[in-house]
Amino acid sequence: MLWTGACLYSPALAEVMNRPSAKYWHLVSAIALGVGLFVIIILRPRAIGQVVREVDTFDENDRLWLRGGTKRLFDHKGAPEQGWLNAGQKLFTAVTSGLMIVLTITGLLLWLGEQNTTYRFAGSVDVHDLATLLIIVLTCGHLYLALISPATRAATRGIVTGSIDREWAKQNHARWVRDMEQRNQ
Amino acid sequence: MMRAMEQPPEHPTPTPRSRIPLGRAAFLGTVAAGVGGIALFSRFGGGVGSSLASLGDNLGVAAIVPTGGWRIYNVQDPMPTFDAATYSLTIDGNVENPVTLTWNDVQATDMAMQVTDFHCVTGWSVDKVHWRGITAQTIIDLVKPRPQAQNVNFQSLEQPYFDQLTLKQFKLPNVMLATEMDGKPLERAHGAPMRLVIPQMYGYKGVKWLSKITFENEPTLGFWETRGYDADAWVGKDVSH
Repeated sequence: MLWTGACLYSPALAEVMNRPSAKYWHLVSAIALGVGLFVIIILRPRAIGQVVREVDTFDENDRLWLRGGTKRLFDHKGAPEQGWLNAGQKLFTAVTSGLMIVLTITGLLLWLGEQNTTYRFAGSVDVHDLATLLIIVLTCGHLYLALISPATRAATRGIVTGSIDREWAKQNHARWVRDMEQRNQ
Repeated sequence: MMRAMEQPPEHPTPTPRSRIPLGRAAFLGTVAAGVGGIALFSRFGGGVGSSLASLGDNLGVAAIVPTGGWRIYNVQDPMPTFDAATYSLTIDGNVENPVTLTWNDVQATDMAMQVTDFHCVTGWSVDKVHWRGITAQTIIDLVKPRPQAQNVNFQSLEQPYFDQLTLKQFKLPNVMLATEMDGKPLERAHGAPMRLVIPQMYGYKGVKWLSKITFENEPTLGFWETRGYDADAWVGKDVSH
């Protein structure tokens, strides 16, 4: 989606892929993304529900965590104890999910608006562009924290292998560790 | 090691809940900002676009991001390349005086200037574009279409792109064959050396890389019309059949 969107957006890339082809594959990849997400929700509804509940659970410790500002992204020492997701991860998930909804709405308006003036708004393309830019920035930050930052990249092991270093987890997600230990007693 | 996703706690350690459910607020707030932004940019986007255009030009990134407002669309790869030595514009069909103009002939023809807005059917616009070119009336006076010739076909060097106007539409004010845009010769991406400009209609009617104009008796559906778009692409009107 990103590549075909770039070909539709950037004058420098207009010649790499003509508009009919770029638009076609952009729509196909958007549908594939939507179908993929739907399949995940259908196959793992409990897990998705747990993520939604976790993201929507915002407590005093989360508020204090966010008050620490961007330095929390790189140094979790002294931070209020966090659960399975820290406050930054919750905020990232919520905002990114919202941006995907915005992209879907504006994308539909752009697609339908080409042949029906009822759906044609000059602002649709501007918001679509802006939402894409924001998601790119957020994703780059996410990838940096996941793969490069020494303070956070240990979490990637949990995604890849399903296991995480206990000491790292105690430092960064203490409440989750305690809950797990209590559950396993 | 701990299993990361094994049995997430159903009853986590209770901690004081914030009054504001930030997750929900952030999600809904983002969606609301996006939807509200559609209305905001629709109303004030022109001012934002002009400011970005200047900034983009000053930073030299206008080719990477459409800060000038222009997005470049073509239907075939690669785009045609203009060669002044070999270029010709053929104007024929049901006319008394068919001609084939070389690039020197084109440049020697009387030109006019106009400043009009450009609107794309996908929703973006560029305000106050300065065009310079040959007016439609100049072409009509040159080739003298016969009375039965009520339609004008425009063929592009970008095969198979072409489109058509009625003769009445071709005679509208500010319809021209533009060779310059904003004080400079048309760039390749904008249809060099010549493109049809008809400000009253959406941009897909403005055939780029013009190579031939044919005056015909019968109407013909253009490239986008055969794909469901309207032949009469008036700005602000539906373009579906």
